[in-house]
Amino acid sequence: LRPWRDDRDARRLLSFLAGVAVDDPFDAGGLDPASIAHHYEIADWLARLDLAGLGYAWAVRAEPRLAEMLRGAAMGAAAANLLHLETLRRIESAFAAERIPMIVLKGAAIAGTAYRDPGMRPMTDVDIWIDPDDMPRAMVAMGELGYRQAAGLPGRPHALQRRSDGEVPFRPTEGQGLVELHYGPFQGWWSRRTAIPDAGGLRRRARPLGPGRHAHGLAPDDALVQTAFHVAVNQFGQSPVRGIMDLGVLARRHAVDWTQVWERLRAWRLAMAVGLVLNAADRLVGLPGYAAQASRTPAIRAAALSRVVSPRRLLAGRAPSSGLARHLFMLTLADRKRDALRLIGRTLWPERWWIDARYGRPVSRAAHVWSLLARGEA
Amino acid sequence: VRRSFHDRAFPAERVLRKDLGDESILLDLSTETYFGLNASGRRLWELLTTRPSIGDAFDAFLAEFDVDEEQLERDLDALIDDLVSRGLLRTGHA
Repeated sequence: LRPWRDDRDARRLLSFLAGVAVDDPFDAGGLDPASIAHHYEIADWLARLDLAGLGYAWAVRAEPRLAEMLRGAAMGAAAANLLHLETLRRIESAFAAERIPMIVLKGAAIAGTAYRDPGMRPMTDVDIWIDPDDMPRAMVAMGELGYRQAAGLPGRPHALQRRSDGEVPFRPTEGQGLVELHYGPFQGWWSRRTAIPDAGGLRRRARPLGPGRHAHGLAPDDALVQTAFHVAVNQFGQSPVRGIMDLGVLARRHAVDWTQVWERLRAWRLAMAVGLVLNAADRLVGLPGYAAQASRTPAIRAAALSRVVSPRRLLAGRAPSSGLARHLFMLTLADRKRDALRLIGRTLWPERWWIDARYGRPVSRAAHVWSLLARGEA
Repeated sequence: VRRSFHDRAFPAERVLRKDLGDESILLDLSTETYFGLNASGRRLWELLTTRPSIGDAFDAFLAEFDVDEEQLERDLDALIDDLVSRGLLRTGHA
């Protein structure tokens, strides 16, 4: 596990960095990673995990040589964040004028509320949850701001995204940046087929991102669940350690009511998926007060899955990669067997409206199954 | 047009500044490019954009740091030239 002797050293540094994200001044507690690995190896490792900004915040005071190596990546991430936050400011202003409620999700919300400096948490886009009834007005407002609807993922047309609480991507007509307007906080067909999250509850508990702000963010406990959900449904791909760091920072910043979190996860049938991520986060960065909850996930499946997403694999950036492995992984995350079976059944034999939305033209179920088997698309 | 020490420096419109440790970045929203300032550059930017004149910023920096006066004048001139050419700073009459 380059550059570390074992994952315990890596976990110790990650846990420490989660504290750096929250506390200022921070206490290094005798941490001396330079005695274990070369500075350039640590810098490379932090940059690969999308933690250069956070690492720089620590190193600039404690490890000048490491800070110099992280400087470029940290400045680039901070500049990108400035751009994203400016984008959010413009959208918030426009949506406030149009009285369009908005709830900021993921990075843009967590960076600004949980991290003591938004520059520590890199962002790749701005995610905003819009009520489906408001989506047409929001899309018009985005156009007036100079954004055009961008092509989404192959095989995920707008009609299908609408039905799966998915997103509508926008890019500026000039310049860079990505804004995604989400129909819901728990996107995707896995969630629609196997879980029953209470999105309305999340909306009711949302709070302004700051005094006088029009933009809202999820309540801390809900942000924690939504972040963990996102890591799970992305099969621990797409910067999983960055997401796990978010969980560690959220849990340090706010007093999490873990009992209530687990009651909700059970009721929403997300205990296995979210619990797996929380267990991994507790092992990697530490979640204060969580230890007693780790045993709440179904023991046998949790044990099997924890091998797939072990700290060592996550720290090495290895996620389930093949199509079959991903499908099996997602099936195993369903809380109830009958929901996993429904997921299989509806993937092979979806509803008529699903096929219409997916292909945008008349397609037989047989042709859909052939496409599924031949190309592995669902 | 040659600048004088009586001129004043202003941050350009659509330029955001973000501090990062002792350093800063300047982000030009028009071009979506950023410019890094080291600790000395950051302090010069702070003084240039808050003091009533470039000369006043020069004097303040000289009082804060043990630097050669002629060297500081050359460095300050070079920094202002660089920032102005990148559209991050503009100068004019105080």
